[in-house]
Amino acid sequence: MKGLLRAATLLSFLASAQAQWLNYPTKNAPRTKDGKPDMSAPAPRTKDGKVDVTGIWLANGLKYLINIAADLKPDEVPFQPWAAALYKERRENLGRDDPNNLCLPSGTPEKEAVTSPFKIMQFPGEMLILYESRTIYREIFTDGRTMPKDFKPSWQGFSIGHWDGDDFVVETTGLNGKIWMDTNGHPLTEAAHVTERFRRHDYGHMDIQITIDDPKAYTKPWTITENPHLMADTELLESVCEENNKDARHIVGK
Amino acid sequence: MLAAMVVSSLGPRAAMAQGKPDLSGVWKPDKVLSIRAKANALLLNHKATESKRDPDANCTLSGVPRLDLGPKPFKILQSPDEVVLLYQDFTTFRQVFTDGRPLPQDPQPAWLGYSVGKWDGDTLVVDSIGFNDLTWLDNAGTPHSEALHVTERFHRRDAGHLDIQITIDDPKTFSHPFTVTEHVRLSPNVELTEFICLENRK
Repeated sequence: MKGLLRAATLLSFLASAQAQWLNYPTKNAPRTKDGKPDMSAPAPRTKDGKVDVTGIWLANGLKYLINIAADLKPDEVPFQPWAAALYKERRENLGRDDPNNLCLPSGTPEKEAVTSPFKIMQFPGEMLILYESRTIYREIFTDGRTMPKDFKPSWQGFSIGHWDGDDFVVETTGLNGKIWMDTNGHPLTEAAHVTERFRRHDYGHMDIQITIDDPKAYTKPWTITENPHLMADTELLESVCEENNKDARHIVGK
Repeated sequence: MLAAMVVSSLGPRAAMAQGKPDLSGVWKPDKVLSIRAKANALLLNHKATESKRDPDANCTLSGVPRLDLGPKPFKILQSPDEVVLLYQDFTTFRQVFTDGRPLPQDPQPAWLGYSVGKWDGDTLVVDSIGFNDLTWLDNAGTPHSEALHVTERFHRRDAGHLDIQITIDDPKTFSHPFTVTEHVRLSPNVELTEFICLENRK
């Protein structure tokens, strides 16, 4: 039963609609001889020579959605004592209070670990991420603006981006303190400063190196790396959590 | 803030790379537009549609063209192959493909449908189909069926003003297609804020 509940939580991230435009060829995709997208072709570049991170991307499985620190040893997450206790309580409670169970959004930086595709688009002055999960978007301003002083805390926070060599670096603050970074329940407070480095190393593969600097919950900054892959020849679907949420009232914890 | 100011100073002739008008910016309706009065005269069956629950109250997703009609602002971002409409309401979006692809045939009904756009002179013409019948056309509860076809004509009259001519064609719900025109105003130096329906459900 416990396993079923966990599965239900994870399923709430998955899209249910059927395919539309799902076989529409991606423009300018490099192709192998058999016509398939060449995932190991060099990473494309924009006219100004930067690595082009646009495209539809998908997390490789559930690993980081379940545990953002999956690649670290348990004692390598530098919890403050209260945060360690909260994490333990959330795990023992099988994630009952995960905001996602109520169809509240995943926050930064969980969104890119969700097992629904996200689409990165580039415009003058901003990078845009469209998320199939929840059909919501996130704006990352690249016009040189600084963090606002009076920003109302939110699930996605306020994000600015810049290029550091071939890395697209996104800084986010203004998070609302309610965020679970994964279904295990790693907490993130309103003091958090999240840095994401998007590094596309070939046509079909990208690393997102995520550094969590949240002195309220963790004694020092810590870093993990996720590895989404490109989805070519497709488009996002629509996914409406509240349309399908039959799980919330069944999730009881311990 | 520099880029936002640059965007807001662009006039309707400030061409994009392919010589098309630039519709980019944060836009806010002058007033909340109801299409109910016009729609009522054309309704084929008044009874069948009155009890449908407001999808906004359930925090599923709003509808088209309801999201355009205010009061919350929306933002347009424009690339050669796609125009994206970002709505503050629901923090949701619509993708309008302008790369020449056709509308899908017999699509799975969706809350916000499927949209393609093309240019008619300086006007972006957006055609949308494939809606479910759960959404309202406006805040006044104007109903529609899955046969709904919405055409939105976006015309940037000058730097600060955008006119959106909206045609509703739904032969299962209305005796004729009808058209309303909405006027929206540029909000310079403003960004959208996150709005999560479930946090605001009363």
